[in-house]
Amino acid sequence: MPGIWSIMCSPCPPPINSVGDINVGSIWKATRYAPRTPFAPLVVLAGFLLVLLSGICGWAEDGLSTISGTVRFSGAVPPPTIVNVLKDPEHCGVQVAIQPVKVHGPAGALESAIVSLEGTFPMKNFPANSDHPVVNAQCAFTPRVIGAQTGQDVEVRNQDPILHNTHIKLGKRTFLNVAQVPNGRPIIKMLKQPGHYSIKCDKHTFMEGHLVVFNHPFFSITDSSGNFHLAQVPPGTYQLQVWHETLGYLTQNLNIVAQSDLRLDLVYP
Amino acid sequence: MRVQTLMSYWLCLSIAGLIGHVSSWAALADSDIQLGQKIYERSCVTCHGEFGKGDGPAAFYNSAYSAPRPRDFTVGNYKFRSTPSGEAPTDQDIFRVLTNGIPGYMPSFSGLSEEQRWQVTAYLKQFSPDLFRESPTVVDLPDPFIPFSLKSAQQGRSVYLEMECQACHGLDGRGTGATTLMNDLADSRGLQISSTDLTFPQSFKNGGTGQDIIRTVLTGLDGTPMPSYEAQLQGRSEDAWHLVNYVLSLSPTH
Repeated sequence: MPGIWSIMCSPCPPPINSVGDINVGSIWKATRYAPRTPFAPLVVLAGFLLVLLSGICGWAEDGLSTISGTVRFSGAVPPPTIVNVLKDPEHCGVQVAIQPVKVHGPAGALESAIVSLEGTFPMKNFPANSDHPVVNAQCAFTPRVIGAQTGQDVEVRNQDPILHNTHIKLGKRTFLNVAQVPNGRPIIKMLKQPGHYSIKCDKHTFMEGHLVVFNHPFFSITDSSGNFHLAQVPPGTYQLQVWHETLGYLTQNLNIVAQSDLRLDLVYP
Repeated sequence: MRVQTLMSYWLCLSIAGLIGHVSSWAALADSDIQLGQKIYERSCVTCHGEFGKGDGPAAFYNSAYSAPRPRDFTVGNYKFRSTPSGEAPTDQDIFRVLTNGIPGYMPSFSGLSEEQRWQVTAYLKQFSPDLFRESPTVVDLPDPFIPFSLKSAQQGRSVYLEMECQACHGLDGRGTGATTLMNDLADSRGLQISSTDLTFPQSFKNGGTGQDIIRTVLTGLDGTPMPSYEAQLQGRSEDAWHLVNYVLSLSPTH
């Protein structure tokens, strides 16, 4: 939010060690020559904070970069897995074809790959205020792959006229195991831990989904054109990771300089 | 000035006393855990293993390749809770399982004193400290309570069907629903498990009383496919108790 940072940092205060150069009458001058005032420590502390903020706002205003590009798949697309449906076939269909490798167009644009940055970020507390629906629809989880941030909510819903048993796990540990009858209430739960969550339906075992949770906002899921976009990336050295549920990881080390606009073309396998 | 000096001494002594008091609480908690560990190593390690991974020597002989295996406390899946799905159990939940045991699987440890059972409870939580970082919230039981009656049980039958309990437990409650018969049910280790026979409440692992059943229905059994119905029965207190009464009515002794 560059606007807010601008308000906070403009005008930025002078450094503490230049107090003597400030015009008579300013608060800095008054502080300098009245050390016995009880507010002196507070003023000095405020000065330190303002100097610190000026450094941060300098980074926030000037240093942010953008990483964007495409993820593609090269080669023959593996055939879908065909599953014979034995439960609720009247609704789910007698057979379902499961194709996690969604490739579009002659260039091989890969959909539903998660592109993210691994590394140390200057800020720790990122705002997170939206939720992520996990919808049981037509005996499949929609969307099948979700990227989310800690502090956000996941909302599990059922749009089907049959029972679903949505079971979300982080590793072996159950995060949420809930029954959802037709027209039942949605269930909302906050994501507190980063990691890879698996989503299954214990009733329809062919249903599968993935929820990848980060403790930062620098991730993006590729769209049907294979595009991804990471915005407001602070300068630094990172590892860019691309994850796909069946194709695995692609990684690339990046050194992001201030105000850069990097475009990448990443190709599986 | 003298009064101020005295006040300063008094303040310092008070703070020192308070620190000492808090330290003694902490020491008490630590000693509880240590004593709990000693009891665990004597009474629990045979099944649950030295490091709480459910891999003690008896675990292999009891159920090497079939479920349920002894709980792996390091994973942090607790089946028997009074808290929402995915949350930590309360201390009382762990204490209750220690006291009652699990029918057919784990013996009751009511032979231990109450204090010793609390000490073991404190020690078990050390195996998955991140799970217990936050205080758990207990799920509210439906209010008002509807006592057992045949009429309530009959009403509960329709709730049973609406919630599709028959998918696993079967239309007659004997644990022979389609999902069970297709061998689709597995626990968190991937081992195949069966559905509980609801006509035999003595075998209910989380207890067979009405209170036990409603707790199981609302919270689910983490680490198994038994889901939480808390959201689906929210605002339907009477239906929740009708369902419990229907399950109770399946028992020939009721």
